[in-house]
Amino acid sequence: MDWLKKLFGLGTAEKESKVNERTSNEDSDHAKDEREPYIPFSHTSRMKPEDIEWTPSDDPINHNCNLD
Amino acid sequence: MGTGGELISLFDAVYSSIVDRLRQESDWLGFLVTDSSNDFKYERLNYKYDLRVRNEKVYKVGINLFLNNEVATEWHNHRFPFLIYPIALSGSLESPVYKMDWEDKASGEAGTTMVISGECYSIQRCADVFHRVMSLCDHASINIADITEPPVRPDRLTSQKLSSPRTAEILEILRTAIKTPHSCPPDPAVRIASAAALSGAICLKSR
Repeated sequence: MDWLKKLFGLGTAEKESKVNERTSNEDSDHAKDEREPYIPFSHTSRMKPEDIEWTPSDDPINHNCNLD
Repeated sequence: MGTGGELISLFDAVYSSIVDRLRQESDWLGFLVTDSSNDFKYERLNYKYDLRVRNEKVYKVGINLFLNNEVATEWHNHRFPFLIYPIALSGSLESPVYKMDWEDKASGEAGTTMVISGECYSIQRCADVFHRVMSLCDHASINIADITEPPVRPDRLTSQKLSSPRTAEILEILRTAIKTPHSCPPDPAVRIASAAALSGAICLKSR
């Protein structure tokens, strides 16, 4: 994960420890970390302000996305 | 289908814009949402505008308000990939807002995590990753759903329209909560380690 830490300038051991304390599968986490680096960004990594726009929704009512 | 980090990156980019839009009460539609399986209710505001990225991806922004919820939800997945930014309405800076059990049915991995005020998370593989939550305090959330692709299953919740005054009240609750020390704008940094900690099922980010 060093390349990710360098990329974003974060990911201290202290922070990692704090996060891991909140999960119940700590033992398996490390193994997963080594075999499958997590790539956080794809299309948004090159996002520019002009790439984002707000447009009127064609269906503002029927997208109850959270908790469903 | 991409990673949950996409949603978190997008949220970082549009957070200020969303906060600005909380002032425009006429741009929000309020609903009382009911899960008939356990009579779990919450209030939701849907933003009348969708967020489009390069005309390739479409996202919907909403606000949820959970008051007096001492019940836990049933295990469920979500219809769309989504991000949640929780905001405690009381308590300290890093108040836990709910306890979340999760299971990735594709990998068989599972765990439990505490969701903290001001720390957003996303679930991209919404068909595979199930969770259930136990609310620990009154809280709200800003959420973004990726509606580019069709939902992975039909809607199972029922909605009843809220009055305009109640919609305005909820927006005021959000505006107030965002100004308090209970939450703060997201930092552009993404806590990468947590993604691995959650085995890729859930992507988590904090200040």
